[in-house]
Amino acid sequence: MPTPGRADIELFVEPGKMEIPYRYHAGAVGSRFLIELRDRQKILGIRCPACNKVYVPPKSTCIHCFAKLDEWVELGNEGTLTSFAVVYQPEPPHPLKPPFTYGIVQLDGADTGLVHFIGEAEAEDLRSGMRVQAVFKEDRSGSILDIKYFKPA
Amino acid sequence: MSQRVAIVGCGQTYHKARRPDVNETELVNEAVRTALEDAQISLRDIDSVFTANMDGFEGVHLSDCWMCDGSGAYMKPGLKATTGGTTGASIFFAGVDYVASGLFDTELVIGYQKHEEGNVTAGLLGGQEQAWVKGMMQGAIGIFANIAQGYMMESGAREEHAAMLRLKADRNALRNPYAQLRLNLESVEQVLQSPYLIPPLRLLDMCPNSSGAAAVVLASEDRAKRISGKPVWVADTVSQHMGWSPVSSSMMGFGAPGERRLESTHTVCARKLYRNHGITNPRKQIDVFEMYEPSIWGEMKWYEDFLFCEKGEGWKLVEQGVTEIDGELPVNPSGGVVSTNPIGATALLRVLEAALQVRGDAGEHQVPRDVKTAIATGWGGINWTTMVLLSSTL
Amino acid sequence: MAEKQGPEYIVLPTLGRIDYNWTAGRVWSIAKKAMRDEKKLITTQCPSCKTIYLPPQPVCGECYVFMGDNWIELAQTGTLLNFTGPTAIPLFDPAFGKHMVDEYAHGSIELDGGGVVTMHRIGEVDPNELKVGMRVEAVWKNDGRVGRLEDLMYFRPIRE
Repeated sequence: MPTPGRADIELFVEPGKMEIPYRYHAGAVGSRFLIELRDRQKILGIRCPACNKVYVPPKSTCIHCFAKLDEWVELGNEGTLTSFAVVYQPEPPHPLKPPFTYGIVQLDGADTGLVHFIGEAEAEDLRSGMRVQAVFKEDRSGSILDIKYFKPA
Repeated sequence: MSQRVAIVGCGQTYHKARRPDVNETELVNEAVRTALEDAQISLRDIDSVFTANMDGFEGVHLSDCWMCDGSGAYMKPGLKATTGGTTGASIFFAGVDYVASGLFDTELVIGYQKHEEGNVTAGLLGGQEQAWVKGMMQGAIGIFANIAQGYMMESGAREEHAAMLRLKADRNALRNPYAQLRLNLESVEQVLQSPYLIPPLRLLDMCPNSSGAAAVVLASEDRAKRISGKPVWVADTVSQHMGWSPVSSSMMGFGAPGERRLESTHTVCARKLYRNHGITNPRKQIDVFEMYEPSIWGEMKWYEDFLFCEKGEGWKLVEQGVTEIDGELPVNPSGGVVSTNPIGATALLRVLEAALQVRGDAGEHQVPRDVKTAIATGWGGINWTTMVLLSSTL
Repeated sequence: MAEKQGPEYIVLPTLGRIDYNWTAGRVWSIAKKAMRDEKKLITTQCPSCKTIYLPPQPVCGECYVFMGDNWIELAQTGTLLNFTGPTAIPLFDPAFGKHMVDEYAHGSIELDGGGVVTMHRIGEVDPNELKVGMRVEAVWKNDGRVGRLEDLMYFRPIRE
């Protein structure tokens, strides 16, 4: 039996790739959320009739109660920065070039945190508990990136 | 001593080519709510959730995590399976074993796929072994083109036989409101107009890619008797996997003369299952057979592999109508995989459809007889067969 | 502007791209070297049940016997066992990130003396001429071989 790791013969290592196109479907509920971002620069959440939790981004089933959700709530553009992290190491899927900052924002009226970029601020100046507000892009397409980032309010 | 396990609830979506109105979680949720309603229980009564999906085909990694709100799995134990064509069966087996072990009493088992979000052939080809087959393999289509060619050469079957079998599938699908392809095919000539994918395999000979989900509720004997007036008992499960070569050519429907001819995994499973349950004549002793057939040519050849007839005679059963919905052994009264194929759910749908037959609840596609025993099979690349035996009595 | 038909559903296209390095391992590397350097197909045979595995494997699945040192050379000629026509419709190939059509017929060949190559290209022939039992021979690339099965470009009918 050969000894593991011993290269007494030429060992082949081949580069390869898998490149497959995918199409994420937002569904009726997700689509409404994205369309409101695109068309009216509004952030919508959805409320559970059983436990009153407000989810953003909105979903169709309450994860706690399993109730069907259809009560839409218009949330403002402001909220609290609960946590953040600065990215220095570039990775292929990143939409921005490092360094950039991810943050979790709890919008006023929502019970969930929304992950997004934090902009117009140096990392040293950020604090958990800061007030932040959404900044929208000029050209919007119906994507979460229609919000450009959240900036200190 | 292991527990007896029964299916006490079934739910599926109306399978479609496209469901732009839902994201994948919502699709799963539809099947889950239907199954819970069918069992007349709520999510609170479920103690574990088992899910199954081929994520790679849709570009979602660890899709079970994403499905958490729709599947009801939040804060509940469970497992996920990703095993190719057998995915829906693998998760069913896992579910059955956990209830049989006594660890869980009432379980939700879910299979799903939202094909329009990805590309199956790409997923299959991308998953192929790099050096040996990547350039050559044509995915499932290639495999079944080989099976079709090999089977015709060895048995004398003709393309007309495949067309006749496709018409049966469509007739049955027209009676099944959940099936995706309900084409109203009129004649053998019409089927033979269907364009070739890889000759001699035609478009209509192959299964579609559906977006859909299926869910079943499993329960241990005590719970099953309390929940359901018509529990469908899981009498046995058998699985066999034969791995890679040298069975490649026998899998493809012909045996190379110099090669050792090995029995297909279907036959190995069937022999074991039949022997363990005193089935010596499956055509007489089984009431319904829901077969996992990605291609109509697969169904024809596999009549032989599942021991309905001698080798080389599968096409004769087609001519004699043995497997029609009112025939001696109805095969795929649901319309089968050629009518509906959400891969992560498909093998589970065979079990679900077989269970509906045992309950007498298949509506218009119910076989016209008292169904006491039913078999549901699963198949996946490469060389993996699953069989489930369902019974109306303990 | 056209009247909007029904609700609008958002579909977001993305490209899933995974770059990877595939290690062939010891046994396959030996076979790949023979393909690249000597235009030969070599493979492993189980010393116990004598099954010829193609592609080569270190352990026999049936006997669970190590056979990674039991090499045999396969013939360059064989018999056509089965075949399918060229791809009639383009299929998506993730290695290239696009739909491709393969113009070759494909077939399975039993090499003289044993070993079956499944679903390999058949070239230099009109697909309508193909017959089971045809004698065929391997045609290798003269240069640019890298140690993949594509180095064996196709099998062609042996024409006397």
